Amino acid sequence: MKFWSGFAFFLFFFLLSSFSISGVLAADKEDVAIVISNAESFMGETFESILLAEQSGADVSSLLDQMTVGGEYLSEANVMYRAGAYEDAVLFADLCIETVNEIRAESIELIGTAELNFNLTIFWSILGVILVSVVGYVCWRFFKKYFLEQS
Amino acid sequence: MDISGYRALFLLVILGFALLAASPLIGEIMPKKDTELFSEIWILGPDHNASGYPSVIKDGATNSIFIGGRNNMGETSYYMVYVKLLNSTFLIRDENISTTDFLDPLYEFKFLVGDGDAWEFPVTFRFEDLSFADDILSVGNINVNGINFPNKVYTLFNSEKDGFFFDLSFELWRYNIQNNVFEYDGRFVNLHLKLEIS
Repeated sequence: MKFWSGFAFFLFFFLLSSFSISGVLAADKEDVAIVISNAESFMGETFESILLAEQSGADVSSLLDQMTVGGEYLSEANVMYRAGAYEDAVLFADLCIETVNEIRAESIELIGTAELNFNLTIFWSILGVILVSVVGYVCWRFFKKYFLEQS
Repeated sequence: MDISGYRALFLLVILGFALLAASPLIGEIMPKKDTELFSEIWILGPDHNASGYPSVIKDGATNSIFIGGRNNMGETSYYMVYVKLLNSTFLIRDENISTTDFLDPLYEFKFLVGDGDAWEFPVTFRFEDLSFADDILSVGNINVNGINFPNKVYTLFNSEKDGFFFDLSFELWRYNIQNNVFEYDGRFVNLHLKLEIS
């Protein structure tokens, strides 16, 4: 009787510990999935700002190589996650965020610069048209006066 | 020429110079001409040309290829290539199957490519621990670019082609900024592999 109660006690704690271990592993896996998902969102948002900068007329070619490095880290994070190497997956997801973070500020700066350049283009184009019109009109007035005097 | 003729000439010249002055702005706001927007994907063999593709795969032998493509989308694109393994019992890729969403990828590549630019990645793969019983071939480990995937996969004997086959499929996905997700671009390339136990 004592043996069976001891065995039941051992079995109970064995099952309890195995449940809690799998619980910890499951939580780890979920945490890693969240970290990777954050890195995915970060890459996506940075890509959007690069695209916006490009559409504003900025030259974004210098940012693409670094973004691809970020993408490689993110791919590695996903691959490691699927292979069950969760610690490595977190490491690569963090590396992705770190790499892309530097570009993000740069792409936002590029958007500002491109918008400024566009506004300057508008300003100089309008000023150019006004100057051409004024100079043309003045020339016409002189020419008209000269022409009428001659005839 | 009378004065009204000179006036017309002056107006024409002024208009020409005004257009010249406004040309930087006109260039910015003029719509781009319509071109076909598409993405490309291709496989090259180990010698970097369209030959020598791995087809007969031995247990433990490392095979190499290059996966590449080009962005013709008119702007920078964010791509992902999924590497998937398909077997004969489940499906071998045919033209009628547009996507394999239900199949987990083994490996993936994520990268950004400028408009008109090409991309390329080397890929190595190895099938290990092959065993055979009752017309079923099982693979104990698959290694892609140095990473092991120790999940057992199976394929049935193909009596028509006299062998055991897997397809290594490379799917092209593109990031959609409207939905903030990768979407299948409808393009894939395949390697049809016959596995042999050496």
